[in-house]
Amino acid sequence: MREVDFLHYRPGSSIIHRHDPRFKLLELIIFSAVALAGSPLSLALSGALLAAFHCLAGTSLRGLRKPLLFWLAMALLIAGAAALAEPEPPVVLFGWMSPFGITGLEAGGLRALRLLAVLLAGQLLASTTDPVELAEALKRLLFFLPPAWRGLLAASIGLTVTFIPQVLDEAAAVSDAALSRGLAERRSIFRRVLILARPLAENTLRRAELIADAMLSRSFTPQPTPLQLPMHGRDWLLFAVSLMPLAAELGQKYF
Amino acid sequence: MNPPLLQLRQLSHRFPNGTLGLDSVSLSIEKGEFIVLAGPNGSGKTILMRHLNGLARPSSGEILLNGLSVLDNLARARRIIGLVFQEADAQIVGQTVSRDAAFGPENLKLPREEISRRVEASLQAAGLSGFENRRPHTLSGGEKRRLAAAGVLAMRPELLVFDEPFTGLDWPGSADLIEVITALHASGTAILLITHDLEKILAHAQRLILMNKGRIHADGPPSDLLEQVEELGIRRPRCPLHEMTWKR
Ligand SMILES: Nc1ncnc2c1ncn2[C@@H]1O[C@H](COP(=O)(O)OP(=O)(O)OP(=O)(O)O)[C@@H](O)[C@H]1O
Ligand SMILES: [Mg+2]
Repeated sequence: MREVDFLHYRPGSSIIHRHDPRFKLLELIIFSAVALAGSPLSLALSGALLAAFHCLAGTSLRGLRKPLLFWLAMALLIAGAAALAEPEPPVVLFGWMSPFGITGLEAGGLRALRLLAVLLAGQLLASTTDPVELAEALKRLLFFLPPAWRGLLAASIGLTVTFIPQVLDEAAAVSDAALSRGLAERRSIFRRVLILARPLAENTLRRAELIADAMLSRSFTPQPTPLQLPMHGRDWLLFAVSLMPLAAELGQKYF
Repeated sequence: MNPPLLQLRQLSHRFPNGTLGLDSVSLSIEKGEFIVLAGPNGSGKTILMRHLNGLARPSSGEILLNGLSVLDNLARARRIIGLVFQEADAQIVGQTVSRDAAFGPENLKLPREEISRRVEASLQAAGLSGFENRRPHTLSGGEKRRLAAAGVLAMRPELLVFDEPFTGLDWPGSADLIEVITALHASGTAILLITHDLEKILAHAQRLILMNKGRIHADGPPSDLLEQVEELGIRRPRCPLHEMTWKR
């Protein structure tokens, strides 16, 4: 089984892992909004808090490697494009007049940092929250929808998350089998994709059938015993701390 | 007299493409029995198992659970009959071992305390205590197989059916699984075990059923039927019956 570690739940028992998923969802929304639209000061505050939360959650640098690499590529693109769009005044390096503008570079850099904060917030939620609990939290936060919809929503999130590693695994097996039979000799990438697509689709459907059998045998219902999501004092405390960037933003705006 | 736990009457199954998968199969299973079901590849063992809890529907014939039709009460059948499939990976739906074991009892809408009790007991019975927070996909093949069994056990079935449980397991892996299965049988659960590897398990069985081409070829005490297994292409172990086990 392939280990997918980007945006993937890693079981643990840190205070962040045990934090109520309803709060975590709300906090993700607040952090993202402040990070995307707030002042540089609020952004910095969000960033500091996110870093602290990641430390509390015991996130390893290895776990962050893929999101950080992804961000680095995006950051170079964003900052580079912004700096090229605004060439005045130019960045001067050792007497060389570069085509990049300072103002544009600053604006692009800020944008890249905003993206980093959102990415870190998403990664924190995904890696510390059991998808089943996340689905349950979503179900409760969307209390205004009809119960049947909420049950199905939670069930399909759970299923999707279960299914992703299985599909990736199937894809790896199919492509390994094809490669060992000389697939790489084929010139056209289009033909290669077609050759892989059919067995992948068939095997995935077969896998889906097996999963369906197994789930029905275990009396699957979209309305099982609800999860208990008890709220503790520490949940409110973490939530209050998470509100700081928002408070800072509002404070700067109105006072 | 009480009706048998499970009774199959003249069960036939024709696949959409016309293949006859099962051909008037009749048999009954009593509470607490230990049965080994063997037969060559393609003899209909898996499709038979899928009928037991109503996953597959017969073209003709019927299946009675405690005297009542399985198809009329699927929920009851799926609680009382636990199926452990050959592909362990496809049976695991939880993100952690204990979440997975809780899946069945949650679907039965049991209260939380009862669910935790059952999860603990079934993980212990499957020898998986201490694995509660592991990601299932990081388990070994043998551990996955035992987790699949634990997930079904947590529903407290009266009959447990295993399809080729030894595929891909080494000797210690098989021995651990046999330990779990024989302990379950000792505590009163009926066992139906589908396998070609008679030498790994037959010593524990009270009954052997041989299938061929969708039909029951023979059904009786293992000692009487051992003579016939090689006709069906099943290897007859070269040891006395009581030594046909991989239990340590
Ligand atoms: N969906 C299907 N459509 C048509 N024929 C099928 C289908 N599924 C199975 N069969 C056929 O039905 C027969 C019985 O299949 P089954 O899977 O029950 O065999 P088995 O005894 O479990 O074999 P094995 O030991 O290989 O697991 C086989 O000949 C198989 O080819
Ligand atoms: Mg089979």
